[in-house]
Amino acid sequence: MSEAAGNIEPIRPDTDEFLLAIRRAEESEARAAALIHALQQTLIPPTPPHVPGLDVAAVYRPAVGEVGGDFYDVFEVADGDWCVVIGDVSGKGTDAAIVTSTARHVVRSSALRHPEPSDLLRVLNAALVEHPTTRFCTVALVRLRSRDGVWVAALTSGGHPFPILTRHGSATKLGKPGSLLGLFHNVEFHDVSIKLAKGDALVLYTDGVVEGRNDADEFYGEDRLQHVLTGPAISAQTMADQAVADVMAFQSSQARDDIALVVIRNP
Amino acid sequence: MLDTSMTVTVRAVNGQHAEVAIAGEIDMSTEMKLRTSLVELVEQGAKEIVVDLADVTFLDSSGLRGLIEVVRLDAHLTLRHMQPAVRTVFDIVSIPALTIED
Repeated sequence: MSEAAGNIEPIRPDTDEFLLAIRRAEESEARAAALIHALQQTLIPPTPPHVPGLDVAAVYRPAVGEVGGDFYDVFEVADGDWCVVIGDVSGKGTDAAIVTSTARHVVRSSALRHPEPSDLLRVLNAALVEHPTTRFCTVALVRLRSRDGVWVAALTSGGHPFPILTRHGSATKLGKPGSLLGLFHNVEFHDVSIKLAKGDALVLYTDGVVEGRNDADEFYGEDRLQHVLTGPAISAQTMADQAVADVMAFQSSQARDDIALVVIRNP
Repeated sequence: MLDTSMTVTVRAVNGQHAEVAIAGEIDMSTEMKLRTSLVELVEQGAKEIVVDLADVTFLDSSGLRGLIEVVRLDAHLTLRHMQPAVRTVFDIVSIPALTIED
């Protein structure tokens, strides 16, 4: 026995080193996770700002582990003139996060000079094509303007799921096909305008919402989303919460992609 | 990441024309493999690539990248036999040098 113990003895320092290496790896992983969390916080506005005359709410659920590529932003361009943008950058990780942050900054800084949503996406596309990254993104953008108490929404989509308009218990997709952003110099985007009447709501979302899958490998899909959105709504927050709860329940709370959803309601 | 859920089969290469069949799911975890396969064909001289998507069960916006990289390399892409769930991705996006056939 003592001989065997003698044989084991020299191994111990290695074992200690091994344990130390594991601890270091765990610590570094924890630091990375904390960094990812901090980064995500800077990219996602925790709650949309108060928009006078409208009821706006958003929900964001990152996929587990990495910084996701979903983003949204709600900001004021001028009095009674607001911009809401939602997007999905291909891929994940810090590289995607850099594109996400670039996209948000370009939209914010160019919105005043480019009142047409399609024009603003052209500016964003040019910026992303110039950007050294090879990632691309899909974006839906809505410009909301109030005149004499009437809200008009102009919207455009660049390869992004079309916003949904809910009105009197029915849902309609709004938009025309547009280009993905960041890949090509020649792009096409089209504007669609609607009056956002009392009780109407516009819902912007990312494809992680409709691509959620259940155990039988079925997709959540647009129909289920439209159904849950057309239920009796008390507020934008209720609509957003109910939709995301339904999506999460469908896939037994195992989201494989980010989920972002923004509701703009005329109360 | 695992990419076992997608396969790319080159069916024919005839000068500038190539035909490829894909099976499985095209998403973030598999798009790179697809992109590499298609780009390789273009580098070997293919300018017209026909892609049969009959056995593709899933395609999302991240997966699109795998398909359209070759369009950026000035190749023309024809997508065939898409299942309805896959086709919906193309209902919302306009891509140059892309033909969609039933």
